[in-house]
Amino acid sequence: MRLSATSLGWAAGARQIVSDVTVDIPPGETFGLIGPNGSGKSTLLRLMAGLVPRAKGSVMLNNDLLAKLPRQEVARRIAFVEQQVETSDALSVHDVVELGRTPWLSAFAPFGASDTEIVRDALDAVGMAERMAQSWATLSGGERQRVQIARALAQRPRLLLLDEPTNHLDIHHQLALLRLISRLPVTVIMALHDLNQAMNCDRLGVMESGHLIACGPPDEVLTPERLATIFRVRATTLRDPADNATLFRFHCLEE
Amino acid sequence: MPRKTVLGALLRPVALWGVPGAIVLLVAILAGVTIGETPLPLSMVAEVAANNLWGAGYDVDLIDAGIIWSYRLPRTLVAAACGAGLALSGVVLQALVRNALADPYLLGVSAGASTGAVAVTILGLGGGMIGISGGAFAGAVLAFVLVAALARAAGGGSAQLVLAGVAGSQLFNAITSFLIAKSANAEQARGIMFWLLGNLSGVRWPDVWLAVPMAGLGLLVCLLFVRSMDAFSFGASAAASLGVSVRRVQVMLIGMATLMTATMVSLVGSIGFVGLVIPHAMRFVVGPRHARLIPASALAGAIFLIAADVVSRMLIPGQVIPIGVVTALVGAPGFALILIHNRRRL
Repeated sequence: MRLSATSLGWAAGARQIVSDVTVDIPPGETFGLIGPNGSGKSTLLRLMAGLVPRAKGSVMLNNDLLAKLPRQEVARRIAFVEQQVETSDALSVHDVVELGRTPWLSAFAPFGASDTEIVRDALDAVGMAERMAQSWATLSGGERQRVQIARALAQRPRLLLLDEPTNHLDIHHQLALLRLISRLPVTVIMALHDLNQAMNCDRLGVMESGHLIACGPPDEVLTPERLATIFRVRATTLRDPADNATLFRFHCLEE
Repeated sequence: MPRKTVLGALLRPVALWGVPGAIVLLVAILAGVTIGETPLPLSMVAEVAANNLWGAGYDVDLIDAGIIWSYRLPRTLVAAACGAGLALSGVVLQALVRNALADPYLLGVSAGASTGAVAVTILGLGGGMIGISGGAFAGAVLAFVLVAALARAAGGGSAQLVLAGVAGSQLFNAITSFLIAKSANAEQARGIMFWLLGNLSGVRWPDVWLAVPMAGLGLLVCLLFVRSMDAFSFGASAAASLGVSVRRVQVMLIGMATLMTATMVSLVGSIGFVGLVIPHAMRFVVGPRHARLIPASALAGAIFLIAADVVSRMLIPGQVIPIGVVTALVGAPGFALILIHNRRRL
């Protein structure tokens, strides 16, 4: 599914968090959002999900205006995994993933066999199937993150929005998750902190102080000058002899 | 899914839980009618019911028949409806406000009802056209509208709603106290006090026709929204991203809870603890998912209040204790046990 954002903006009081972001993301693309802390990545994702009241600008999903679509229809198209979510309810892992089926169910379309299968597949995809009876409260941060991703998969979306999905994950699950995402036949927009992981995206958008200041293929976007000005690091590039991939090694730039 | 399976999936929980639940409720109602200072046998209850429902013509003592049909049966039915209504309101508010302390009186409804009742009794507001119940209902709705408006003006979050509710409750309680201190004579003050603590003595059949449909409607609305309430587990924003029209569901369900509470309070006074304790107790029994929590809480609330009413009639011979006193006396220790038990499970 194509997402086209035009002049997206949002201000918290007098403070402009996101200003005038225009971007077009074609179907099937994996789009990475990078930028320093507080640059507006999370808010931009929330704007793209239509979850921010009093937002400026517009978002088109294929040919539909997001703001005009019923919430249920939006949730059938977009699944969103936020950075940290909390609940005081004593839910099990299975309960949480089952929440992903909410937009597809109603009083007259109750949870059925196909839903059970979809939930099961989603749990399998993140390696949590054997733990589905476990209580959410007893999970570690990384496990919670994987369960939330399974919940998003159970939504069967055509666009997946992920806010730093590899946070809290051990290195194995980071790589497994990125591989899983790259294989999904859906459009993915995700905020990332690890610039080496960002290199695997089809395109990158760089956020700074609420503005989208660059957008394009990773090797065009992540230039040494930009890394110095935006991220305040000096980068040396290394080449992995195994697959000829480019890797960054970062050094802090002192003031 | 084929039509037949959909129907099956809809009917199975009704058969599995609804039928046994209805039987348990019926037993509780029969117990509520037979137990009392004058114990009346079940056979007599059946005969009186048959006489009144289809004129069966059994020979029953007129006084006993009067106690059963005009006094205990409406009282028990209203107790059941109030218990169910308050428990459902508690579930709804705890789910949507995301606060374990949320209960039907959180939004100032009870305080407003008291002020309304007092205004009618003492100030003669409404010129005798509206009774104490009408005044209570008007006060409850007015208080809720003010609290909701304040919460909205403060930004509209659930924390704002709780704080606005606290402010509203304090204000209306102060107005009530002020009115009593300024204008009421001792007898009026005592009467109001008694009413405020919950009183089923004055309940008659017209009250049944108000309370029971209201509880039934509340249960139906809640059942239609069980998945939406589940979706609020991770907060309103998560619910929105799961496809729930947050504003619509909040207005619908909190409005329903307020309407139920206002109705119940206006009929029987403010009965504490049911709306807070029953939902928490049921979470430990059937879990946090609303498809089970909603019917379980309605049933448990109904049975709890029938039992509380029986106790309030029986505890001191010749005297009826306000039912709110009984629910709190039983409810508080019961709640303490649940809290301790829950800590052990974690």
